[in-house]
Amino acid sequence: MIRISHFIAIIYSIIMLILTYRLYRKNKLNFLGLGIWTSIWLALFAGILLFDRIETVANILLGMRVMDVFVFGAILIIFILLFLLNFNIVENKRKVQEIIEETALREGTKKK
Amino acid sequence: MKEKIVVVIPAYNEAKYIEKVVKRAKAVADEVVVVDDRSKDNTEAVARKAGAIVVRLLANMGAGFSTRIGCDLALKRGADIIATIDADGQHEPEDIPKMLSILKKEDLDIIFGSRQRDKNMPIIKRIGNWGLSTLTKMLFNININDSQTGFHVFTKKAYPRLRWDSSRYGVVSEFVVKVAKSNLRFIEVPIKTIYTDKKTGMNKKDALKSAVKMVKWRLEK
Repeated sequence: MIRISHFIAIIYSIIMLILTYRLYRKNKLNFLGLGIWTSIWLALFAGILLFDRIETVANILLGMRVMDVFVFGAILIIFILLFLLNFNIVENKRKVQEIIEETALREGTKKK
Repeated sequence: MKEKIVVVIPAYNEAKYIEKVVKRAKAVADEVVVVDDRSKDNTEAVARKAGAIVVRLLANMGAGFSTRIGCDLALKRGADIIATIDADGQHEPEDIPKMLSILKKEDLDIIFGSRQRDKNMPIIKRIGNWGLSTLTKMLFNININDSQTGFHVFTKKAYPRLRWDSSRYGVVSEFVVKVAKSNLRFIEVPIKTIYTDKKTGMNKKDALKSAVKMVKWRLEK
């Protein structure tokens, strides 16, 4: 039986899949990013559709309810993304600093 | 051979004061480099008109970053001696020759222009200055009364050992830490305490960040 929460999650996953693909087509996301994000939305999509079957597997293998598996997985993914995001910000800041530094020194050396 | 003296002035929205500061600095130095930290006023034009070599950064990066760019540039332009002063008239460029003669006479690497914590310094800045200077003394065993001064005169040989990473106001603390860690020879020379604008400069948040960073640098030792 499809509940309202299932319906919302499925619509959400489909919208996010379309958005991810459009960003990839516009070159705002690389191939690796497309792969990672598509996997996340597909996992969410499959998880909602196959909720009952996963519930059984989760109970037997992990001794958890499927919702707990989802929450646990989501938290892990959020922390990984935060870590990568922070790394990217630091790296970009360093690159911006280098560009500003090089430009300033180049300009300043020429001046009389 | 005569040594080349370059005065480095990091500036942000200092159109009101920069002309006088540059002209006074030019009278005692061979070159004056102003690094305009993406000011919103016409600091760049005023400084250029006053006779400085002006570099305008592509983005606002902070006093530490601007000063570092200025010093790198001074070296590229063949400086033997670099002096750093503030753009708001807090420091008197006329003190540079006196500091320079002490630097040579005593064979030192660096001279700090040291302000007195007297009534000319706003009370909150006096407390902050005392706190950070005391913390520096305690953590790095360095005898310095004004660790927060932006007035320094140093040799080109000392600069690679002083070159800092801090982009914002933490630069003055890092400067002292580098002096302590590199065993550079220094003294403090008293300078006048002048506050042209009591609201600008390091705020409470910057002071706290500097204190935390100093503990971090101490642990890294």
